[in-house]
Amino acid sequence: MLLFFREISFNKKSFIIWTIALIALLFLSMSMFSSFSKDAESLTTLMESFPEEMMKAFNMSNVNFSDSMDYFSYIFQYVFLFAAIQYILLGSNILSKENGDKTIEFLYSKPITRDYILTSKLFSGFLQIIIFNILGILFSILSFKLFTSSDFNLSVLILLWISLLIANILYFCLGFVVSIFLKKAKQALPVSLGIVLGTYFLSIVASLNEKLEFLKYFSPFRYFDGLTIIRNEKISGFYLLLSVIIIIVCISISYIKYSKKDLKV
Amino acid sequence: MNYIFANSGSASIFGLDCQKNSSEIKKNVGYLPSEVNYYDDMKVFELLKYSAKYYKKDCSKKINELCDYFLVDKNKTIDELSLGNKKKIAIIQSLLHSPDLLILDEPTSGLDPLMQNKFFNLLKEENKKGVTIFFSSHILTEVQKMCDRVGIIKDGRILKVEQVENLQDDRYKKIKLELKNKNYDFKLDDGEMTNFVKNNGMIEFLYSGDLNKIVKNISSLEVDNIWIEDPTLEEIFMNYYKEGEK
Repeated sequence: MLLFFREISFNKKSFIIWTIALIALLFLSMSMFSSFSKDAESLTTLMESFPEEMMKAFNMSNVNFSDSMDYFSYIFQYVFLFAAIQYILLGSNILSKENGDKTIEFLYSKPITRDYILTSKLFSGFLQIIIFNILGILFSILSFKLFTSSDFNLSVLILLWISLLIANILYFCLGFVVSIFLKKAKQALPVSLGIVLGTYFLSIVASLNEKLEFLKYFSPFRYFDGLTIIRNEKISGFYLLLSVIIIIVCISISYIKYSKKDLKV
Repeated sequence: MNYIFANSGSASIFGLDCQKNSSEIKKNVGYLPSEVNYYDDMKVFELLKYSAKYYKKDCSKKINELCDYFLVDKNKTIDELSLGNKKKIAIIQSLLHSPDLLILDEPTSGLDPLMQNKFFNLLKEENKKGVTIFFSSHILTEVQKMCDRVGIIKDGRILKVEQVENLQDDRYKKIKLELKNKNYDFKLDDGEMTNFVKNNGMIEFLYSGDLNKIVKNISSLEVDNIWIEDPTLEEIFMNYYKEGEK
């Protein structure tokens, strides 16, 4: 538990900043809902004049801006994107930072196993993700209560956040496993950003071109499309399973690879 | 220390396998890295306490003793410390859990002579208490002064493990001659002379043969000056490396 708590206090600052920023984004956007919904009709006519591809690229094509849930899902996808960035960075930093600063040498000289190091770091990440998502649920409920007059579907809202939770863990684990394979700690940032933006654009490409639709399997942004969840009132079981498999594979590879990794000083 | 994994072979400490029981072994091992890299934003006492917690015993008394001994300011952050001061923290960190085995990698780099002396005295004390010390250094006078046994490693292979005194034994003598006749070529060709250097009438070599023979040989020369010494560890060391190359 010692390293676990150390990790938490290590990442405390950046976690607080990210969390405040993301929740503020959500909260402020929701506060603008009433003005949006008032002009929803003119907005819809305006948007109809845009080319269909563009609407799809921004994931706006089926959004009904007068509906609070739809509006929420539209904002939610940006929270989704930024949270993906945050947690893939956390995942890749949590190991590679110690390698870069060479403080890992200190940890290795202590009477702990490498598995212990990995487990502590993994779970400190999971805890942060869980706290972030719980805060997210609370603040989105609050924002609905404050800024919308209509009723909202609580269970769907929770489903949205659960999908985000899984996606966060997925990206965290991706960052984690990637950082183990990287030779230099400095590569962690560009590679992780590349993965997030890459998968984000894949999701756009997949929705634009029907021939390239198979690409959606490579993009977690498609797995948990907010609007689809709202319409179906459930998370796709297939994608849920796929995510869990990816997470398990990432973690297993991490443990196998890390227990044999040479220290480079 | 299980930092890197062996391509082949095995190693054990305290009868435990270095890879499989690594964490068990580390409970009783103190490690001093050659380059000290600690968490920059931690204060000295935070780092030492944090380090101590891994050993699951109360080390605060030992920490205070050692900090006083090395004159360390515990309230500075690691970031503020000079190389020598970081090294001191690393020394304290390697000793605070009273290990049975100390592994010191270039322990004196960055330490001022005063601290080096204090450190060596401490090591001698620990050694008397029964602590085994592995001391890796390229400053061989240090090794000569401190160590009982020396292992010479080249290209990952141990060439020799030997008592320091035995290494310096009478088999090797360092002989230096200053000759009247500066051009005289003094050489015995029985292969017992090594590291032969001739420089403006000064002749230097290591000799491993029968001393009487060489003295007789020298007596036939006109000698200005003569030195016969035990070679330093450094010269023996260089010799081993040269032999290794052959």
